[in-house]
Amino acid sequence: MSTPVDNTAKALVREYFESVKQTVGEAALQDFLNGNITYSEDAPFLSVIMRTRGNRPEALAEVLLCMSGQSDLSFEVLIMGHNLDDDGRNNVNSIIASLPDYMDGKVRLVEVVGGNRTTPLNEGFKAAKGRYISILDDDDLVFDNWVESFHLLESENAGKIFHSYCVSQDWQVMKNERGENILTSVSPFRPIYCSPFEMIEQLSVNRCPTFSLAFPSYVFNVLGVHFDETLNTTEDWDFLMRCAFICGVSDVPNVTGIYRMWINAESSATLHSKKEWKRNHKYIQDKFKQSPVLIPKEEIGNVIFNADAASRDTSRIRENMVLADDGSGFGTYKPFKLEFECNSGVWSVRCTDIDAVNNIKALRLDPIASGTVTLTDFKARLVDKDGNGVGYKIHKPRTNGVFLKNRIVFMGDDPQVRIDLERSCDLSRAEFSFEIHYDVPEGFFRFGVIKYLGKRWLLSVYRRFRTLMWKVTHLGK
Amino acid sequence: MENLKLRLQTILYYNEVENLEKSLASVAKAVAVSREKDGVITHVDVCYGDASAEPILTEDKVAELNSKYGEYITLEYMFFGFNSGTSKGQNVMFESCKADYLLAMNPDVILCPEFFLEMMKPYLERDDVGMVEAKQCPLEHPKIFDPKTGEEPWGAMACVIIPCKVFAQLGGLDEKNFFLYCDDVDFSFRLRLNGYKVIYQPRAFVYHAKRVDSKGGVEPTSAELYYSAEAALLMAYKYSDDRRLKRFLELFEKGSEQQRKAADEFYRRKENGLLTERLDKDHKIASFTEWGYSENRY
Repeated sequence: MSTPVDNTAKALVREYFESVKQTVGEAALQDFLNGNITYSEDAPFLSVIMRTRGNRPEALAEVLLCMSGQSDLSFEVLIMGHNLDDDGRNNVNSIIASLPDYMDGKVRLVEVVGGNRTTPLNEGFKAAKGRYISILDDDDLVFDNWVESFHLLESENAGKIFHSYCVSQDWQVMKNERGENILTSVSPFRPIYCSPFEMIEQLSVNRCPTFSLAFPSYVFNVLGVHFDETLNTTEDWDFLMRCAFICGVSDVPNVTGIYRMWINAESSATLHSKKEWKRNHKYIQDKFKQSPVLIPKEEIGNVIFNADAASRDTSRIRENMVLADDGSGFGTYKPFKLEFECNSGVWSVRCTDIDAVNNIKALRLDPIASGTVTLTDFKARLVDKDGNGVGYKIHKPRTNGVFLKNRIVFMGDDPQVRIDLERSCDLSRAEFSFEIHYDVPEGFFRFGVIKYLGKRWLLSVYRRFRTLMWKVTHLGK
Repeated sequence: MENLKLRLQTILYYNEVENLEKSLASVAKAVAVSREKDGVITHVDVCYGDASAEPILTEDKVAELNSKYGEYITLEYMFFGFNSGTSKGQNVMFESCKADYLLAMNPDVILCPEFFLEMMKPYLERDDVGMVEAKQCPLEHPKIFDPKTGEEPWGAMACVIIPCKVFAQLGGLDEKNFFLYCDDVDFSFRLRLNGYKVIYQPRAFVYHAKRVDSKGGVEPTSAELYYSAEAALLMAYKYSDDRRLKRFLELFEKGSEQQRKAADEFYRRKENGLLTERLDKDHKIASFTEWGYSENRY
């Protein structure tokens, strides 16, 4: 006897398989289900697809040096030269020719003419020989464990997408006195991409820089899942999710690279308008709505227990939310143990081992990883070892948000609130309360944007001033 | 200036041979590029000083590497038979150095192809340079520097080039005070006390493998914690900063096991008259910050 529940379940499964079949074709699906996937004998583990226009040779040379430093050399790099001019072609060829001898034959230039910035990805995936494929931009940096971390997952998780962690860092292009470009880092690492892949969250926003992922090549070659060339931005998110719906994702919690945020140079964020990003975002989400999505069983618990918005935040709240500075800088000590409560959207956070650090001068609250949030009703209660309350002041210039009355608006990722204590002391109690809103108030766009941009400008002036002062003090100039 | 003699010195300590080979291959390539483009460096004498308990390389392996890369480098291998640390090891190797320039670096560092072209530029353009430091990838050091001239307070000896006559003039690295840490900070400060400049050259980048944890930090080992605490005390003493020394001693006496051990070692040296001459009494060079040795960019 069949029940309505049975019928619903069957219909869902049928619908899911139909949607997969529509994506990949029936024959390909059968090959996939039967395990008919073969690779050439000389196939490396990983093919690295690197798009370039050949116009930032310094960054390209740095990322290829990172490839030379890999602990696992089972890879090939396909540099997808897109619409290269003569200078660009010469830059790329000269960099390839200068790699050390053990890199011979591992790196090759594949030129692509026409199409948009998504076209070289399809061409690259087509030309790749590896069992897995990753996309590394020509301005990213990877640690020596990048290939190794993915490769170690293969023995037990072959066939899934591999996902690793990475950090972001601000970088700047400067000129030296010879007029040459120099690339330099201007911020500490932000561990904003150091969390497991979450299918549900990924439906709303992409939290995976391209190089944090390695795709099984069969998804492209056998199942025929290709990049959508109508997209000029967020094409990687669309491709990732369509693959993830079919083959799932396996995490490796190693930090494998640095996503460089250029504060004064061209990137895809500056090349395309906000309108275009928004339009593509909606287009991709509309695609997600058209077919059923399988949720990995590991995430089911989160869906059930984090059903209300406030509880869902727990998974976003940072383990190292509170940091202390005793004069040696933030981040010197292990994260404090925290207890959380959430009543009617108001968060209470208590450090249970604040006494582990002596002589505290300042505290920093890093409530959440992502930006575009507003913090309201922020309060701290600090008590010293003798039971006396300790006064504090929010250090506005060192807090990376914009103050609008009793609100702090954070546009960028990694919001931080720095609290200076009135006096250095040993604390016995530290409690914080605040409300997080996942949007920015209307007023921000009237007054806050100017403040926000002004603050970034002031920070840049401050950096230059500090360098000048250092020169005057220490170099006698 | 053409065809300058350069010697690469590095201390081995239980390294994997595969990583040494990668590094040598990159040195050979950088020499080839230098020959092709300006000819300032046309050959490099590589001196490996092995401080491990057992030799890492066999005679056959050294011969194999010399045969493979002999067109660009000559490899000499010294087995110390004791753990020399970095400063003493560099000084021991320098005794047999006949070159114009010394490249001191970590053994697993991989050079960018244009390394010698970029690193030698400051020496070709000015005569007051005592040290040029390469940029480390992927973890760049956050020390402050002047983007125009490259001047910086000190250079990290993970990869630097120093004129040999300057190295000799300053008596090499301070092996009495610094076993593993701060030999480079101390040498840089002494260079500047003698009127030389320390130059950061970010266009010469090298791969120095490091890994970070999921908080974006680097977890130090117990030995690193001890030697950095010991060096912090000895630097404060040597550069005549009594307030800093007092503060560190007070903190370390109540601090971690490694810090307490470092404070004990400092008192032992003091009681036995082993502390060395004090420098920079006017505090013009040592750019100490609360915990570090220079201001940082972030």
